[in-house]
Amino acid sequence: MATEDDFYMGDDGAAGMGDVAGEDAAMDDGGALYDDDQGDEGFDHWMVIKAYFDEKGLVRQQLDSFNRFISNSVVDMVTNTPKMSLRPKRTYLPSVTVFPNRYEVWFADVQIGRPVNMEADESTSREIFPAEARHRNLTYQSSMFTHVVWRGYNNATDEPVTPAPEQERCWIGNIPIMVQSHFCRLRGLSDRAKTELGECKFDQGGYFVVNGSEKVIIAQERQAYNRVYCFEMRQPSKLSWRAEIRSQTENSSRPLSALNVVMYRKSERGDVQTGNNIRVRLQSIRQDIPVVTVFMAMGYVNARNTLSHIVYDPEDTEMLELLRPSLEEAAPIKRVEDARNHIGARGEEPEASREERERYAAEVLQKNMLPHVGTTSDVATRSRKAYFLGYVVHRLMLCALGRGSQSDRDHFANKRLDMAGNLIGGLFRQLFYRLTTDMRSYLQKCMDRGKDLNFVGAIKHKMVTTGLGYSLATGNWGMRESAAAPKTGVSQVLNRLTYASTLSNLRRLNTPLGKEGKAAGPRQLHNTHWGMMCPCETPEGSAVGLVKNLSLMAYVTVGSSAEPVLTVLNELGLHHFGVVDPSMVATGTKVFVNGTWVGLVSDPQQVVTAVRQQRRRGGLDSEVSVVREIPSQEIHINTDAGRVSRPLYIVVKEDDQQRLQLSADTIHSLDLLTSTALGSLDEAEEDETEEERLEREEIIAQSKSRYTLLMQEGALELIDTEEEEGCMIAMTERDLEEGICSSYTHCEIHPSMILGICASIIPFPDHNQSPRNTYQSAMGKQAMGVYASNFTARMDTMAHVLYYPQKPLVATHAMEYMHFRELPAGINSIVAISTFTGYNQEDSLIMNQSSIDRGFFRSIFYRTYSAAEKNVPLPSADGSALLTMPGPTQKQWDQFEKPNPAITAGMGNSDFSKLDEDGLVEPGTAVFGGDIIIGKTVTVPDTSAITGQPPRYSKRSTSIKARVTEAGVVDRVLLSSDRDGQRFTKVRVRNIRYPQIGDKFASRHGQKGTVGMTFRMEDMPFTREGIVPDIIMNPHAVPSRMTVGHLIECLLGKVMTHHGTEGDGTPFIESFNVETVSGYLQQIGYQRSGNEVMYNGHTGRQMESQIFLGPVYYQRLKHMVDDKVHARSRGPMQLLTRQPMEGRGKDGGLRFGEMERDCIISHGTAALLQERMFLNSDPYRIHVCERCGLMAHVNLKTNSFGCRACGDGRIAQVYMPYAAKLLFQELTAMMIAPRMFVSSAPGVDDQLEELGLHVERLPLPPAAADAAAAAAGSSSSSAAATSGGAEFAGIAEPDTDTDTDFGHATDTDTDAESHTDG
Amino acid sequence: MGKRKSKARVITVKKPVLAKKFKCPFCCTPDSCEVAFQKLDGMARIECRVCAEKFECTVTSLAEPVDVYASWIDACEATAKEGADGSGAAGMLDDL
Repeated sequence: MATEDDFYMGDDGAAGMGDVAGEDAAMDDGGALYDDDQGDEGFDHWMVIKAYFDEKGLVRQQLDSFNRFISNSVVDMVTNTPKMSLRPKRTYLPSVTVFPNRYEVWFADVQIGRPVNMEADESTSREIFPAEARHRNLTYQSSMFTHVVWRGYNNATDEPVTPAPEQERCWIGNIPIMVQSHFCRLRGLSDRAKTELGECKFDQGGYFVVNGSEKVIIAQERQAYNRVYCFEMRQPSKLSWRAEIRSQTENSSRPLSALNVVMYRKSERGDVQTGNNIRVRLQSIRQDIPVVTVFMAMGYVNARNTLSHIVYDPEDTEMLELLRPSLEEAAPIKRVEDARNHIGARGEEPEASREERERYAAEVLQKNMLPHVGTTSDVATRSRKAYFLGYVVHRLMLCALGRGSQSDRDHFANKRLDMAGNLIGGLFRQLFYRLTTDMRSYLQKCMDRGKDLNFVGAIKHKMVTTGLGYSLATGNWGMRESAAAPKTGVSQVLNRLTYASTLSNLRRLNTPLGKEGKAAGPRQLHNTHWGMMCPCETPEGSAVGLVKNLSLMAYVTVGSSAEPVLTVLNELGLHHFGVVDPSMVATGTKVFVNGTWVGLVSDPQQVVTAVRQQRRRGGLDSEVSVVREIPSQEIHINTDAGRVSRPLYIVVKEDDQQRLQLSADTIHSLDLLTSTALGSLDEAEEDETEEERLEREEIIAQSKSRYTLLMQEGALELIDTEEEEGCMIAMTERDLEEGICSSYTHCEIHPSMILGICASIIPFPDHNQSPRNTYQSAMGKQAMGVYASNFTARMDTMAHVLYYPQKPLVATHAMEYMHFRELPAGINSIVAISTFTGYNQEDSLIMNQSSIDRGFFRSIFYRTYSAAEKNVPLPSADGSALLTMPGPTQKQWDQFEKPNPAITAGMGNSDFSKLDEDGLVEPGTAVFGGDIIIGKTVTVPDTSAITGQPPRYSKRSTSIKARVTEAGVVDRVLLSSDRDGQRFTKVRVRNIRYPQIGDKFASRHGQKGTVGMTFRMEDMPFTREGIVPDIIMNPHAVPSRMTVGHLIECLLGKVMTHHGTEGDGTPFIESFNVETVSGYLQQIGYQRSGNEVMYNGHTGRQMESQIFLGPVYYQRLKHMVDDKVHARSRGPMQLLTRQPMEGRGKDGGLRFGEMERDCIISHGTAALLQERMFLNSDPYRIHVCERCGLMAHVNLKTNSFGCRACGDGRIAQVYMPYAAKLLFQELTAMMIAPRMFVSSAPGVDDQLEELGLHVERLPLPPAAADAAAAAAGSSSSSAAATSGGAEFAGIAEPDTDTDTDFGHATDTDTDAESHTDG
Repeated sequence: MGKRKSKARVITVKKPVLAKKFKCPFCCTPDSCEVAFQKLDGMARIECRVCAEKFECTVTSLAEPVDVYASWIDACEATAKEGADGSGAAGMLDDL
């Protein structure tokens, strides 16, 4: 019997399906409409996918990377620190004796424990869990210890001072621990235990807790090192081609070393024809060196020998011919010494002697050129280096000859991802290096002064602790003091808006390219992104394509040693360069391990097969990738970190029949081990014996490592982007059976796994226009739902929680692994697509008010306010030096309390009544905007000793107000102590939000809209069944956007309401067919199209057209009108400019901007312009001397007028924006005299003439002429200066005479009075 | 008018180029010695414009001013050495 499984979710096994089929026999007919795509032998591939996610989770890349860092890299970095050698400096002072010994110091080991918290007084250090760190604003970190080992040697005899090296354990710093990593206290705990510790059951970790906030380290994309890239140069340029390699030695702190081999363009310079010369651009050598000269400097005197390293085939005349100019060019240099001299002379020191030059050149070639090949001076290394250099030249010539193409920078095989571990590792390396250098200089100083050496005391643990903390807290990756601008935004605050947004944040990666870079390449979707990067999820705008998200099954390698690979290769008969005859290169296949050419093999296929076998059997790490490039006769084996890979089924061929390697036995055991089959093994039976317990735990362990089992069985393997290029991958198992191709090597597990977290929430994304999926991927992160199961325990600054979230009626398989059903973010709403009243135009929605009243999309908004007492212990106890500040023994300085208005300043007119005596609000108290919710005071310095007056207030209020626009109920109050041991509180206020006009909603198909109108149920249209829609969406939203998935979701959702199961909206399921869904719809008794006859709620009459109606999963987005509404007539002004404040939070004005100004000017409505930009902004009046044009000194209270600059008494009053007055004063301060000449003042034109300015006056318009006359009138009798004030009611009068005193260059009247009314 | 966005100054690291003027080995004046090539004769001449010390040598097609200067330095050192121990030219350098 064909089943209808194809659009039901099959997660709960066949049993559930059977029930449905049994209940509704009518369905079976419809089911026969299409083929069962699983076939007889087929099995549920989702079982394999589930096995993967059950074992790996969704943040594996973060965890693995961090684990590797802690367990390997840290230890390596510390223990491989070169031995510190301390020698006493010779001293010529008779008073100082030379230190008797010299010392060697090194670090023996590293020990990192589980996270602990050291209380501020350093009295107690006890274990902490992430929840406590979050609550108390602590850092979830472990202490790192090492053994410092030192050994003294007598200066004179060089005998060791002690028989054995001495050592002592010491603390080298704290290191933040990634939640859920190996070193986290939560690791391995059951869901129940985690819940009891205040954690979310579904939290997968992968982030850090630094100062109480959760930080994610965003993976950084970069170009892969140790690979040869060839580029054709963009003309005009001296060069035609360039081959570049950036080499970095594994686990080394050496900076990158770049080598460029360049080919010069054919050109005629004077009479010498140059062309196609190949030269080498060495680091720190200032001129390109002819390649043959470089070879010669390496000891290759014989040209034939050099040639054989570059041109492998001696018959290849074309290539030899291309090399001829380079050979001829280098002809004058015939000896090794000359070659070295030539290179050395082009180094950094032109005055060096010949000997120094040659030594310098030799060193550059040995250490700085291609360090990844080797930096030792032995012959084997030199030979390998010569072959590698020759290979780079060879590659360049292949390109120049048109036999090879340019390298593709955007190919994902040429990319590496730096994950959390690598990034922290790099930082730790820098910090630890600083720690050792500081330690060294301290010890050296002690030695030079003849003091005792304290090796442990020389270690400043704060270097690492604060350094890591700083970078993690700010995202500035690099040391604070370092000169180079650090990378920003590496560490981000973990997004906790909804669970999917958290996951997505943890799987994000960034390309640190200039966001304004014009090159389109890095932003575009590349073929190699298939299965590795989500094709949909990327931000819009400037970062489009640069910020990416990992696909669901993508796995980032953590890296392993190349040693095992080399061992295997040796066993397989790798020919090393020592024994290789150059002529072998032409026939053999070159083998590269992590970019280093290690040798040649004669049977490449055998080698590739053998290495692959080893990898599949577990002999080599499963991360290792093997690629055979047949055209170039190369084998590439990579073991390094940061490659992106994904698991694929292995395909085998038997008797011309291709099939998956996955055996029936494996499937069977997998089936037995699935958690659903195991049932409640987590819980122990009461009378369980020890044996039973062990057995049970064994099964649990097995069931959790089903993916490993599959890998061990050889059913799956990890394929990275480079290896993928050499694979033939079938899309489905059916492709294998049908034999579409006879050379399959692998098979996709399921094509829907190409999507990332956010795109996996979309049902039928394969039916939508592509950008719509991108829009939804961005919008899904703003949807509210349940962001964590422990949300009641958490104290996030802001959080939204949906009241009645539902799992979607039409789901995707991937949702299971993302726990979307357990932590959903939306509601299945009955959506009609109709204009109805027209209140849903331009992407607005009509919403059913009655549904809202019943709780539809009701949500809670939490906001947490926090405050801490900041008491700095004062240094001196006697208080003589710090007379004005109370000491710790005196009155408390900073304190939570209910302020006493009699002795407390700065309480304003806020409502303090809700505070308890302890300065906190009781949970359950309703608070309104502006109410005080944390009472806090600071003791004001006692000024009585200075002024002789008893102070009016002894305290000042530093209380925290609830946001003016946000009311609510106090939900939870936490009182604790923070990192510094200060009293510290967090107060969470909750506010219930009902959907209302202006709130934003969206379906899962990039169809967003705001509520345009709410109608009660009786006003909404209804169907014959009495169904009333929750939402009415406008039909115009559909055609141009082509969100067909939205419509299919509606259709399938409608069927599913009758089935009581979930519909399957997983993309790329071949058997899915809308026709079939329609068939079911018809069987249930609806129209095939999903349309319904509806009746107008207002009139009860049948509506003319039928309406497409059905359930669609809608999301409530975080943008709500209540957070946005804003209007102001009068309000607070800025202190400096006296213009209105900016922003809603400060009750600011609405900006009348440049463009608005332009409009008004073009309309010619000058009075309106003046009103907007002057009268309603910062009107002000100043007094100006009519003679000199500078601001005059006027006191209206005493009626004194006078110009300080020229002593004249003729004063005019001038109205201008306060900002203009400020500008004039600032100009004055800069020795520029802005003179204002009042046009009506007598003799102005003459004055201007005197200054060399001729003024041509236009006739004044009548109104202005009147004003001018009035002004002239007032100025003539200067005492009547105030008369103009009547015209401008509300113009600020200068408070005192000092106000217009331009002796104050900048505005200093900062008496904190906000001018609330004009 | 709105504030003009202040553009962050781009710090370009200047690529070090090969020197053309050199410090005189005699009078130690920096950048005082310049090289003149006589390409046809395969000769080059370096002269200090301050103390008028000069040096001539044969050059190859690959030679740059630095090479001429280097030869001069070498010649000076050889002379100095000769003066010191009279053993003639500096010994051959180690092979590889």
